[in-house]
Amino acid sequence: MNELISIIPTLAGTPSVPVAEVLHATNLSWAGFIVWMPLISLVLCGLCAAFKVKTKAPAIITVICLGTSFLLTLMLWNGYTQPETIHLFDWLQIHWDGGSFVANFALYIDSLTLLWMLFVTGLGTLIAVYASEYMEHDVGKGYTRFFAGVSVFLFAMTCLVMGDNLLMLYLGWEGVGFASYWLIGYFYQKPAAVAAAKKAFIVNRIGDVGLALAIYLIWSTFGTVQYDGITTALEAHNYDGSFGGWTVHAIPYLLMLAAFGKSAQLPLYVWLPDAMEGPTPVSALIHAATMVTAGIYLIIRTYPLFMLDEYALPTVAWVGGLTAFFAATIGMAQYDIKRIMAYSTVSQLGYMFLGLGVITSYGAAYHVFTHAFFKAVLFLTCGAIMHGFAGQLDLRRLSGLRKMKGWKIVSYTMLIGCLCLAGFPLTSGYFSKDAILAEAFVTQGPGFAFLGWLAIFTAGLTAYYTFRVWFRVCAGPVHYEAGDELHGDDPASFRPHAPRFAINFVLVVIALGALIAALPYFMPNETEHIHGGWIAEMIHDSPAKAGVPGAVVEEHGTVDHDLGHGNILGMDPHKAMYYISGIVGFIGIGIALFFHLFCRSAADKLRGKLLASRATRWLPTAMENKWYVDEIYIATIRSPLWILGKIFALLDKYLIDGALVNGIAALPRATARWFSPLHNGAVQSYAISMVGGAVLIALLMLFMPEIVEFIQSISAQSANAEHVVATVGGGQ
Amino acid sequence: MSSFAPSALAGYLIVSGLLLTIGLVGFLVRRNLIVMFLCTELMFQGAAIAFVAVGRYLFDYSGQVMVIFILTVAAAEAALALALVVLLHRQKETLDADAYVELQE
Amino acid sequence: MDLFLPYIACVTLALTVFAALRPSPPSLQIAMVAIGAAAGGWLIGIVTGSLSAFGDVSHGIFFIIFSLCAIAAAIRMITHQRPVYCALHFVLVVIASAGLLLMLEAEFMAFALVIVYAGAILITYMFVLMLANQAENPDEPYTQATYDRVPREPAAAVAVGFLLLCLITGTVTGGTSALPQQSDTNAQWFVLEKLSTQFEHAVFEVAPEFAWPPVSENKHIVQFGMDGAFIVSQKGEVLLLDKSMLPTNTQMVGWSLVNDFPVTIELAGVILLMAMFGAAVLARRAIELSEREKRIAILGQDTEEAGGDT
Repeated sequence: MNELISIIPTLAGTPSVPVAEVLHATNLSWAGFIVWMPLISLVLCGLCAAFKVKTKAPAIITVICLGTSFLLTLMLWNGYTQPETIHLFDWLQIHWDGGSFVANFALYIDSLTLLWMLFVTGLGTLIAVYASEYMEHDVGKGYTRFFAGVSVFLFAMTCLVMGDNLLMLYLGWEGVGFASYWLIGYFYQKPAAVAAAKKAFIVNRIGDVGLALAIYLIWSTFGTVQYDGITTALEAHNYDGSFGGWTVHAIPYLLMLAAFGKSAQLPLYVWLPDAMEGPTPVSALIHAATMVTAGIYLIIRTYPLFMLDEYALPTVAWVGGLTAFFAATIGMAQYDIKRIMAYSTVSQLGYMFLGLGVITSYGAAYHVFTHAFFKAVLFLTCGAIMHGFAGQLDLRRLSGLRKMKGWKIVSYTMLIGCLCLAGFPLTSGYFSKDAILAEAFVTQGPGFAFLGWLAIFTAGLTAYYTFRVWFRVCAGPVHYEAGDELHGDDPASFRPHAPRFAINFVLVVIALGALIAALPYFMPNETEHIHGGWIAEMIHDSPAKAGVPGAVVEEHGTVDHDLGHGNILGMDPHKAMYYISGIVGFIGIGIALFFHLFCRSAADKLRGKLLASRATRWLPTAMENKWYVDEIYIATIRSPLWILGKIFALLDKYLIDGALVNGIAALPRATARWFSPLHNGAVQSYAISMVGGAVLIALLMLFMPEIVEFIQSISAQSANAEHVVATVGGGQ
Repeated sequence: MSSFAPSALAGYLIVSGLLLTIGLVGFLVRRNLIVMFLCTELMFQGAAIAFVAVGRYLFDYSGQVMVIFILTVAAAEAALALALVVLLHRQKETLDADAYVELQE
Repeated sequence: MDLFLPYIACVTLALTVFAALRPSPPSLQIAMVAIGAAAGGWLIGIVTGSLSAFGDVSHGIFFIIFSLCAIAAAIRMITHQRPVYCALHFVLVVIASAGLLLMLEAEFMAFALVIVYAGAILITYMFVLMLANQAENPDEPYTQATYDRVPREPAAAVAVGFLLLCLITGTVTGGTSALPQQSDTNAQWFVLEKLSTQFEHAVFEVAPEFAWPPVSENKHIVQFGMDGAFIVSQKGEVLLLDKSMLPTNTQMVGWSLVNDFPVTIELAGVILLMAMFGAAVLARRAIELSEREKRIAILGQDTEEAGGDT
């Protein structure tokens, strides 16, 4: 704990981003097209929809636009020297005496942005190509809508990543949430899809509340929402959090809430498995590679703010670690391969948050990068299987795919993905996961060592369930059944429909990318003192530089390994982790090999034995039922709200509508009905009223002085006794 | 003329007031059109006595002159009112005042 | 308590009138009338104080008798089932009020009242009553129609009416107590001064040698001494005035009418003329003409028969 606090003064000592020298370059304004190209694609897709285009034109448009974005990103990366702000146009400029709120549409390009944009646009383009074949059944029906959704999503994601202020990030945040809703609900005739879309949006909204509040607090504490402004303010206060009072301590927790919502951590992860109702390219792009990493990006961008409260980062670490374990246990017991991949995503995101919490933003960013590739390839292969087997995703009904004609590419790219996910030695996933696991033992923090062991155990579970999928689906004897989307054809005459060029090409490219992603680890670093390869290079001049190995330089000028170094079983964590994670991975793969390839019936027998005994029955049932989390949410949150809603509906109907609105409307009617008998047309009844009125007026006029005196005497009595005497005496 | 105490004047005025009131009550209560008008004549009686009494008290003969005019007007009114009652009776074959309620809601 | 006594009498009267108004056997109604009249008399008694307020006890007695008659007849008039009897009771009221007017030394008015009201107006009412009064049910020709038997909202009417009565009582008792005692009875002599010609004749009948006109230092020529009223002539003669010299009520009313209200007399005449015209116009019988007869009446010829090619 103490070590955590002692980092902060040293952070202050290192030279920060030279704010004064940030160029507002206009000769880089072409970079704005990275943001505008997806928007142009959206407009053109809209025109296609208006003209009811029945070809694959929307796909071609989207691929071209996204490809252009990717090329522009590459050009930007090529010419990158130092962080820059590219001003696109003035958006919000509100100034008044004593303050201002400035949020422009400007792009802040530093290496972190470029890292994110590279894989966002790259994977976006590739997945758009994949989807052009995957969604071909819907050409003329929902095809255009799909690609419009993808364009919106990428526009919002670029805003999020490239914005130079928190408001643009928020714009992108909401935009990706909306695009996710739109795309999950793509099959809107399916009630399950609609429900899943709503669930995703609503659960994200809970996180968005945190982000909105955090932005307000940041503005009220720092006076600005621009990143460089915040950094300047923090430096001015020397990274000491006491200047802002309670708000400074609240900000990291609110940001954390937002990140947990968007990146599906406990307790807000429940939307991600259900989001698999959307088409598979959506799952691959949004829910594996890009949108769910927005939470990580947010925390990395605002990392200095997390340093201001001493429990913020440990909280992130704990939530991440627990989520990783929890999701892995659920993933082990599911039968739908897309669901398994979804829980795997949640689990791996947990790893990334764990990494952020133990101050290795390098590890987290690296894992984001590698995870994007291998998870994308895993989802895309699941999609290919779904596409070819008419919607069949149950791993009990599919087997031996690698021996089938036309399915070899799918099987072997899936194998590559599984190896990376399981952390097989020398794959990209191995190195990125190791960075995180090791740092958990290096950094001293509350319970970090326990988290580290938990994470290692989870790595074993990950290896197990990943290879459970591969061994069941791709290995073993050939067997397949058609799925639900058979559309009435005879099941016996069903022939699987192997993927063609677009799908295969994309799978191969991304799988190669997953393999190549291991290389950055070995690249030499140009900047002094840091190591970790290309990724570390990319984030060392971002706000998250504290998490880059070697970036924090002590006063003595030595490297960081002496900074309160923890150890694992007496060994140096970095070196030991190579072996420990490798061994754990092999154990997991071995168990999966046994249960799911060599002796498949043993798995069923084990399950049967567990179910039979009362002491262990809860284990498989709870895991298969996702630990009843959804049911708990329904009971504790949804039902009370639903009851409250019913109560308010009744109140609205009877109190507001009935008593107030209709009551007030009924008042004139009732009054009229009450007075109506007076108008009976009979002269004598009118005469009675006239005489009565005349007599009363006469009484009033004749006895007015007495009445006035009477009233005065009453009021005088209540005021002063002497006044009464005077009035009485004076009246006579 | 003999003298006249103020309380005597009060007595005469009370009598006229009583006649007025009784005539008023009769007007509001009776449903026969003709009897209604008869009750208004009763109210005139009350007014007449009041005029004459006060005129006597103040030695001013205007009071009695006023009564002459009251008689004139009463006669004119009676003639016209009865003509109207005859017309109404021809229309509805009844003398009930409650039969003429077309202005009701 | 004394303050509220008149109002209590009013309320009693109200209750009895209300009771009398409800459809009930005639004997009950008559009893209620009697009680009501007694209440009225009580009220009058409270207000006037003593019978000698009228100058003479006998005057007081006559006053009470006439008043009670008037009130009883009035109440019976408004409560009687049969309209003809209502009119007859009204005649009784007229006669009683004529008696009251006589008490007030307004003989002309008393007789005018009887002649005009009882003699002319009431006869007209009788005619129309006989004309319009029909039995509701031909099988029971002696039962009056419902609208004669059942009063309409007696409670509200009685309440409103007696509210008015209480107002009047309050005003009268409050007001007359502040009135000064009637001015000196001698003041009646000042009426003589208005009829100068008659005065002159009356003086010369009594004292032919009296030198007219009389003199006076103040504005009135009639002066008062220990023996009564007298006038002083130019030569200094004093003539005591006698009660017989006072003009009669009729003369005074006529004088006042012509001298003070000439225009009003003309207008009254006009009103009567209009009333006559109005009655004649209103009571015409409308005759339904057929289309043909209307055409003839308007165009003066029968166009149908003429071939109708205009």
